[in-house]
Amino acid sequence: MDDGKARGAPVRIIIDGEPWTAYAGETVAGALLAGERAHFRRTPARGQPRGYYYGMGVCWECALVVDGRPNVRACLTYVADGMRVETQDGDGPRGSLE
Amino acid sequence: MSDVELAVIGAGPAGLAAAREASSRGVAVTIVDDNPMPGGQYFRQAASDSLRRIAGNIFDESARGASLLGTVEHARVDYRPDSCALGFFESELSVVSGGRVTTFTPRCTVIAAGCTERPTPFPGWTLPGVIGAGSAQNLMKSQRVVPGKRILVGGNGPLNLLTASNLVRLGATVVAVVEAARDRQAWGRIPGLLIEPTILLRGLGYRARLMMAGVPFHSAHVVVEARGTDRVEEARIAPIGPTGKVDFARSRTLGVDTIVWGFGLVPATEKTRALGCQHVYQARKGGWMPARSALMETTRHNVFSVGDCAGIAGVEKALLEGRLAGLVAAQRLGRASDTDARRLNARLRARLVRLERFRHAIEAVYAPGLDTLSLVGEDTIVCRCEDVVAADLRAALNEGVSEANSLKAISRVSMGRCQGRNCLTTVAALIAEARGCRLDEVALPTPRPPMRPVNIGSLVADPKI
Repeated sequence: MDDGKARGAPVRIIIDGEPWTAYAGETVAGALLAGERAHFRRTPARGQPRGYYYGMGVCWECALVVDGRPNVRACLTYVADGMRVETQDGDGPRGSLE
Repeated sequence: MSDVELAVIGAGPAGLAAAREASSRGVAVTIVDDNPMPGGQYFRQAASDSLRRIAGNIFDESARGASLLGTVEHARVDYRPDSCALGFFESELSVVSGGRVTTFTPRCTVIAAGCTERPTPFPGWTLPGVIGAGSAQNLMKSQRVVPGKRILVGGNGPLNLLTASNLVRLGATVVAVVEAARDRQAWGRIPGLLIEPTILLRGLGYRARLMMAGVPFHSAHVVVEARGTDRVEEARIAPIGPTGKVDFARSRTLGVDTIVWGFGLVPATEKTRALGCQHVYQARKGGWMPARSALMETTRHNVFSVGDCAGIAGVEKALLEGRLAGLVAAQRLGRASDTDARRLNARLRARLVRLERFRHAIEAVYAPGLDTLSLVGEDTIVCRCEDVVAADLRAALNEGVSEANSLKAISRVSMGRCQGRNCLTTVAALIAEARGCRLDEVALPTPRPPMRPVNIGSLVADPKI
């Protein structure tokens, strides 16, 4: 669809410890999906894989860990330089509902 | 607490049309919307200037809606993005924005809350790579991202056709479009469809684009399974027989990495339900919706409901209804003369009647002719938040549980953070199946505040919640 450059200013983020180039204006979900990563978390109850689903903040399927905070919705969160994104296991590191 | 003349909940087409009509007549309007930018789903804007320039000619909705989007800049409009209506307490409306709760006492309220996708479970629908059709649209409009390399678009309804066409235009490989409705249903509806030639041509254009791209179109087919380990790797599709039964024996498998799945939309009624408005059930309009007068007023005085949250019918209807409600609100607030209002009102309503006839034809063309519960296997997840499978719910229903609140208590279904938005329509269908009753005989749980999950810190300052 585009060569990357046209997407705007590059933003360096870290996904599960690996450096990743996203672009200004992208959500975390947009950045992950543009990089063909569909798996965002595992469910607390059955440990099933989940990812981006309804994309408008209501379904919570894309919740993952951003800068150490669990349960952050990737579809509503914009990338920022240095942001650390981790796939979430169950309720996440602190088990809190942000 | 602050007094406002008109509160508009939702900055999509219907809400903005209401706000524009009312503010242009001198009404002070407060718009509450949970998105960072106005436009809702239809006029959703690209998230940055650079992204806006990519494929700008394809996603020109927000450019066409530019003057409507400009409503939020109006001097008499107090626009509150990233805000969400938490609840209603008698005549007060609580709104959270930026981690703070504000309470308003609006004299008139227009609810234009839009809709959500109809959750339609099938085995494997929770796998990463199965995404909603509206959500694929959102991803393309705001992010200019396509969600996969080999995409199947499946389900039911006109939104899927538009989505598939847009995916092709952005260069994705659409492996197939799988539509539950039968193609030949369209033939008898041509007179109705010709009422709105512009909308009809738009739809035919989507179909033509898919044909030119060589995308196979399977009518009277449905996706019966998504398979894969940590993401979708295969989709199994099967034909739907003339009696509406899925012919699983004739299924076949397609290699795909993404399934864009849409089975129609559901009006977002939690706000009108929380307000105690009366609701009516119309399957073809998405299910429950508030009962309204011809002036768009709900059964609560000075509370209006417009657009998809009052019955799914597309953007043109949303714009007209919004405008009508904005006009009536202005009249109630003494800002529109009765003769002036009557004249415009008659014009808007005549146009709405025509659209409704067209819509009726579209609904008939897309009647799915399939009981979607037949796709739900015993192990199919119904409640995505709590991982509750159909077998658990059917077992409880067999033991005599007969309504949604008890089912919640036993199984945790709908008790997760989506607050039932992913599952309540399926729960209602399972209850109707077990009781042998109609869907409109199944009562849904009453929504309670907060209507969206909210940080507890935002609430402690407000003693009412």
